[in-house]
Amino acid sequence: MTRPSLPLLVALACCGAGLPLASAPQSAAGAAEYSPAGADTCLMCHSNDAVLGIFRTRHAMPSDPRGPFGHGQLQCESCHGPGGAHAGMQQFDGQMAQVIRFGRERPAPVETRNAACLGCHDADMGFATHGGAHDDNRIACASCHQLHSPTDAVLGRSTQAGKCYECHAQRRSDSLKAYSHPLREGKMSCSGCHAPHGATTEALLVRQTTNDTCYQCHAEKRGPFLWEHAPVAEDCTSCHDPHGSNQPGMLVRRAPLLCQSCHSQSGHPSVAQDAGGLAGNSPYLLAQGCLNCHSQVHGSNHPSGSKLMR
Amino acid sequence: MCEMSWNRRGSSRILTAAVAAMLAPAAVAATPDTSEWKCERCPFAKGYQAEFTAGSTYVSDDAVTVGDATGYDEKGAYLNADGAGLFAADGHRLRWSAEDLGLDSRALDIAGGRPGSFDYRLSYRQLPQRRFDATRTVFSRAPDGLLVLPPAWTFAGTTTGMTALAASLVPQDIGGDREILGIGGRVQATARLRAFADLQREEHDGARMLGAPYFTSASLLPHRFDYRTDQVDAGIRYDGDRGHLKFAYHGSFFDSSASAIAWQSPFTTAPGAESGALAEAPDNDFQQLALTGSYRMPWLDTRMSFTAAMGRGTQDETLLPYTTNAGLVTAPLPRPSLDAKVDTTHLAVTVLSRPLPKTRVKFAIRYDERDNRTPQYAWSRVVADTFLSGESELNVPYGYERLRMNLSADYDFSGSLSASAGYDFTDVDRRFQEVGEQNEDSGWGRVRWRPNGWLDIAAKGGISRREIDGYDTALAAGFGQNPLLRKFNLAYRYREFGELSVSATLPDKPVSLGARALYADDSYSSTPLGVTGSEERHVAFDLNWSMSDRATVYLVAGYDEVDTRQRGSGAFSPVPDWNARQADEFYSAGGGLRITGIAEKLDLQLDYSHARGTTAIDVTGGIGPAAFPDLETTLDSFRARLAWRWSEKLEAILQLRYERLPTEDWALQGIGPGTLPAVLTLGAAPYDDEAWLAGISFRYRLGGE
Repeated sequence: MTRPSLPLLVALACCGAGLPLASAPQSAAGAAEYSPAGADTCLMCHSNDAVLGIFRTRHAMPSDPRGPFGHGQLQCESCHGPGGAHAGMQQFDGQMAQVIRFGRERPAPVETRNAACLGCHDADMGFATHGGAHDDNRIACASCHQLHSPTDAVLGRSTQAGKCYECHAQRRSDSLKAYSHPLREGKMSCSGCHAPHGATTEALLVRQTTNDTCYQCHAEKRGPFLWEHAPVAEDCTSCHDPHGSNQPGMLVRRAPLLCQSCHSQSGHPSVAQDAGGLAGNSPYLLAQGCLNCHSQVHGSNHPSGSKLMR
Repeated sequence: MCEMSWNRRGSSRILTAAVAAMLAPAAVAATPDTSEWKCERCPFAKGYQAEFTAGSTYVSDDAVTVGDATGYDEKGAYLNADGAGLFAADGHRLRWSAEDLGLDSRALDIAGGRPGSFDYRLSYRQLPQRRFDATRTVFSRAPDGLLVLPPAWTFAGTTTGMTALAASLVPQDIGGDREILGIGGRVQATARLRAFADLQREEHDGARMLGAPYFTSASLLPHRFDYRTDQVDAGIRYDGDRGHLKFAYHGSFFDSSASAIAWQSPFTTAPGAESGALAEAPDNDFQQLALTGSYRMPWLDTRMSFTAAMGRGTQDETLLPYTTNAGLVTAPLPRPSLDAKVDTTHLAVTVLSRPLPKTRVKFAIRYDERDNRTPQYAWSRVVADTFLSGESELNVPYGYERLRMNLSADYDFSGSLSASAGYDFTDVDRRFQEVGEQNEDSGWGRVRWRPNGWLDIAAKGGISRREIDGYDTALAAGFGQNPLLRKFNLAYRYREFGELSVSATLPDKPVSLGARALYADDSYSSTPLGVTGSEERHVAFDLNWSMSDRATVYLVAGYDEVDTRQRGSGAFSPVPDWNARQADEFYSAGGGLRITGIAEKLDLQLDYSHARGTTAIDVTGGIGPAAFPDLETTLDSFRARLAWRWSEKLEAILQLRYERLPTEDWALQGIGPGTLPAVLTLGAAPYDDEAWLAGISFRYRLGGE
């Protein structure tokens, strides 16, 4: 009986799932024949700790009827595709038949790998996976997730950032800045603010706007205040760089220059330096600078607070 | 944390059912008969397995920067414990982890359930924030919350005359602690319907520095705060054959536990102004309903995702009086509380289509509105609790509408070369600001070349132009602004940007390399006063080398440079009389080593990071010296971990850590509580921390045979 090749099947499966055709077939792939005994066949050869780790994960729950190891499911071949030819060590074009590989060595095309995941997890991925930044850049699910590991690093609060830094290296650098959120200490994760699986928001933020995302932990700055500070109400990143900064408070520039970007009223707001400079013990430059007096810079609810001093 | 559950489609359909739907039966590999697939070799998790770690760490010195977020802020010995475990039986699964139980950064997470049916989670964690530990204050907190001075305090016009200052100072740490308790769960009600709910309570208390002015003098207060934020996220999700729909509620409720921050002024004041009050952050809440979904069109391999969210934020805290000065007669407040309301609307649609095998087109449109419906009233103002300003001021309920559109297309020329191009448009309408309407057009192109399986090179470049419909100088003048000022977020801007990334996984070599460079140049050519331009350059590099199955090495490095130029007019004249340039530089480098299974018993991990940031500020023109001293921050961090497997169950772990964070900061350098005549400070000094942490712990494993 003539059987269609695995790449063809995968490609068609992708079409069925609304995904693109695999851009390149796997080399020497096998025919779409399942193994004779499922996981028992696979584990005859693949039984090292790295493989067996999956049995400590949610994917290996026989009681879950929809999981890969649920009753009637295809076990290893749920994700790796039909492995009959591979198990039978059949040769195609001089190479042994392969299953869908997810690892670093000779991985299947991104679309093929992701189709295996999204076949079950499409709805979980934040609704905007398709067209999200990671999808735009053709990032494979398995580039971040380790399915066989009992502790998937990207799901751990203290280990997630390290995974993200593999591509977002600039953020690793930011995390080392003197004023930054505690990612370096493993006490905060990127996914506290970003939805890596996709969102219709700017920068894949978990809430609808930048400010709404910040207010998750900084609700005291939400107001609405009697006296609002216009940029605060619109965009926290006008003044703060949440990934880290050389300036206290993760400010994008040092006060008073930052404040003077938008304030030029006569008198001290417009003066770049005090006449005596730092040696003159200027109350406008030293200690908290502008905030020595205008301490309610995020907004004031005091009836006399229009200058953000009450 | 992402959800990792399964939708209604069984995994057996992943390949075979989809294929079956597309192919004639003769060509399909039918779903195999799995009745004989016993999975006898499968070591499914059963019963319990857990590991417990207990030990002690000694910290060599007090160091707030080391203790920030970790809890290791004071010199001495710390007992600590961690643990993790898994219990699985009868389809039920429970995983727990405990971290830093002996520290102020402790965390406990429990997650369990029956996959495919329901799951639940419970979490508790603390996050210490340590800012300054050598700060001192003259204030103490009276039972009613008023920050009072010592009985023998000597009032004076400047700190120089406060003769009781030195004797009155008491230690006051600046920092806080967050405690976060979370509980949540999901229920798979039917094959297509799921309900979820997550609740979180965060308690945040501590002390922070807060400026309290009296005319041209000010006191930095040790403001003690006690905040609580409750958050609720709940909803239902429906999974259809071609799409998904989620209806969710989000609520956030903030309680500041106080309405005023009152203090006794240490300066000589006018009669009746001996004390003052700032408004504490008001209690407020925000609630939002959101409908999100996605749909797979039956044509052209097209998907659509959308969001529609409407919310309302309210704040109705009872207002403080205009002044604490009982001797001043003020008009009554327009209303006892503000009854502030902000309505938010967010609408977004993204359509992604692959009309041809090599072509991908994406269109996204998003609308955001902050409709501030807070009523406007005329308010009087009391200046420094001393006199009425005589002015009547209207509160300004800022709001905006923002529309964003993006259109992009990708074309795959071959398996190795692809190109993308896009156009982005943003339009912002603001209320009560100098610029009513602002729009920005951006165009960009990107080329990606993957000549083989191990090399990936991408280059992107583009320009954007932000135009405004005019700058309302009359409105700006109403705020007292120089008519030449153009606020940087409202001004005309022309931007050029570029990006280059290279990643390589060497063929047949266990080495991977990555490098990325970004560049952006902003020109505010229509800005006479304010920010006139900025340039950003970022470079990052990393290398990973798996020397063997047991040993890996990595190296990372980064460099950032941000130059900003601005102009000002100290004389408030129509001619700029000073220019300033802030040059921020930051570089970091690090490396590490992981070796496992040394002599089958030892695992070694080494990490080192060095980072240095410098901010140079030069001012030309104007009064005063031309240059500020450089602001500098340096970080050296070394961490070593050696684990010795005594047996299958017992492991000994030695850890050594070194942290050093010296800083140079002219704003704090040498500024004691009484150094500045006009500002009574807390004496916060630049960080100069250095500490060694040495620890030993033992890990014991249970179960899991």
